[in-house]
Amino acid sequence: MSHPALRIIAIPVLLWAALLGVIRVVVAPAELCGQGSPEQFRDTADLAARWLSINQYDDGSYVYEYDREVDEFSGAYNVVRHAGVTMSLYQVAGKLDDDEAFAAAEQGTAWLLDNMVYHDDWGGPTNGSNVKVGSAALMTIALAERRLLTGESTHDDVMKALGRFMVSQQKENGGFFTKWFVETETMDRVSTSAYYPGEALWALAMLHEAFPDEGWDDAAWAAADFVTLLRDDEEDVPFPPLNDHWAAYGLAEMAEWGLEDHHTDYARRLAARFGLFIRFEAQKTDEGLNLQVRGDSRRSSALGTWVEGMAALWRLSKSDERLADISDDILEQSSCGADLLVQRQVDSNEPPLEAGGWFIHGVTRMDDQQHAISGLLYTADALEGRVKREPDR
Amino acid sequence: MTIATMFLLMNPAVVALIWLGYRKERPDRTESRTLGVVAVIAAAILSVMVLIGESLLDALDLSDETFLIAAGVLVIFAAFQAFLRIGQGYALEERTWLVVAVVLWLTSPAALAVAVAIRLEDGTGTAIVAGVLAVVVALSLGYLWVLLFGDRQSLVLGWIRRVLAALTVIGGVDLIRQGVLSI
Repeated sequence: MSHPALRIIAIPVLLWAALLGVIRVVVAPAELCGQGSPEQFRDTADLAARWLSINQYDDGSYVYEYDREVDEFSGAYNVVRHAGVTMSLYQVAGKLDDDEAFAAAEQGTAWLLDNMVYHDDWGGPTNGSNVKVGSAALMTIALAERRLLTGESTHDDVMKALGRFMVSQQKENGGFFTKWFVETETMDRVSTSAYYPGEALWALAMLHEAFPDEGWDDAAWAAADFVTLLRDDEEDVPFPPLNDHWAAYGLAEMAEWGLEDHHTDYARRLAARFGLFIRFEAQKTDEGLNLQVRGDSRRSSALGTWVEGMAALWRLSKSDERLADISDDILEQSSCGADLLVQRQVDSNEPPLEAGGWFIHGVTRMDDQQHAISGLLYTADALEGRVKREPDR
Repeated sequence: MTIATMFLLMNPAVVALIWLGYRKERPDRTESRTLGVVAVIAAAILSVMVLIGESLLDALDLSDETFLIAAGVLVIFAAFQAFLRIGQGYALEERTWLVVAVVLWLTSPAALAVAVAIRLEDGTGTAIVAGVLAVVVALSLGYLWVLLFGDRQSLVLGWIRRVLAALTVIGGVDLIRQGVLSI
């Protein structure tokens, strides 16, 4: 290789060309999402809600997990997810004026009420062996949503009992124990949960909104401080912040209370984390070399939570001046994620166990629909500039 | 930080090294006019990239944040190129090859990417000014070294090249960090 053209051009150019090729495949593939429209997002959420209501059993429980490849149902069930699904159905009822979703949510609530365990002055839904903070939190939110939707105080006592359970499980640093054992009537003082604190944070904030004179905000503030300052360390989150959409909901709910700087700093970092995940997800094609390098698409119970989180942070950014500068960027990413959900949903022409669902490797789980629904509904609102999270009807 | 990365990336020690390769064959020639030619060509290429960069990102379906991560990887590669002397220091017999070699260095994909990154952060005007200034500074310092020391201080020049390359890596990492932490 003696000619200068080869020495000074060929080698560097070939190296750069190879590097650019590798970067295109590994680091920066095309991001395959559009912005979508509020109508599209609401239609998609509505179809997903139909999956939940059609595939609900008479006792109020839902089809938990279905494998369409072998036409089999999973034998497992999860109370936390049951409460979350019920919450999302109330959201559909409130945002889309959907009676079918409301009826399904009422049945889901009846199932939760049937499975309540009471002890001392508190109560919570059980799977038979324990009462989890996550179950109590999401049931509280579902009932708070119902209260906002109907204006009824029917379940106020249950909400307060759930709230007292969460407070009884709260640690001095604002974090939470995870569960109470029904048989031994003892608290689990060993295990921890990364997401229960965020769930409890939002639930306690909703309780304070529902009953402003009862002091639920003290526990909510403590939870907010724990989540924003301590949780990631305590849970050994490898690359903080943890992608906690529940915390985003909670902080958005508390925006009007006057957040402190460490709360909004955390919200900013959280938005960046959700944005990174959504962009990464938008780069997946599930085929060819991209599949080998980037892996499968994530299930919608993951993608949906990132969209939910972004939509909540968008509301927060609209209520708190300190985050106003990232409002448009948040909305763009939220729309991108919601558009991916639209693209990946099974269409309405398929059988009832498939239509409206999201499947990965042939399997869907009820919370795939739950998280997608919430993310789609609130992103649709955000695209229309609607900051109010509460039901419209 | 991204503007500083642009200046580091153009590593004047590499410019001096390329020039010294030409001087091996033509020790009697001063090439101050060549400086102007290189500066104009490099500045023009960088400016055009600044102007079309965003359209290019759209065409490639890339978000700004993903682009910043990719730019960071390119910058780190350019730093290694400088560190390992890839395509540099060869004896060049003709002035044309000198121009080509220096322009290729100053307008590497990494430099073009950083110019677009500055455009995304600080706007078109700043990006063009930063790009042109970085070209002028790298060329001036590189050529000044050649005039003052010739190939007498090659050991020192080598260390300067390596130190600037190491600092460039920091700039690359910062771009990746920006891409990861941006929304």
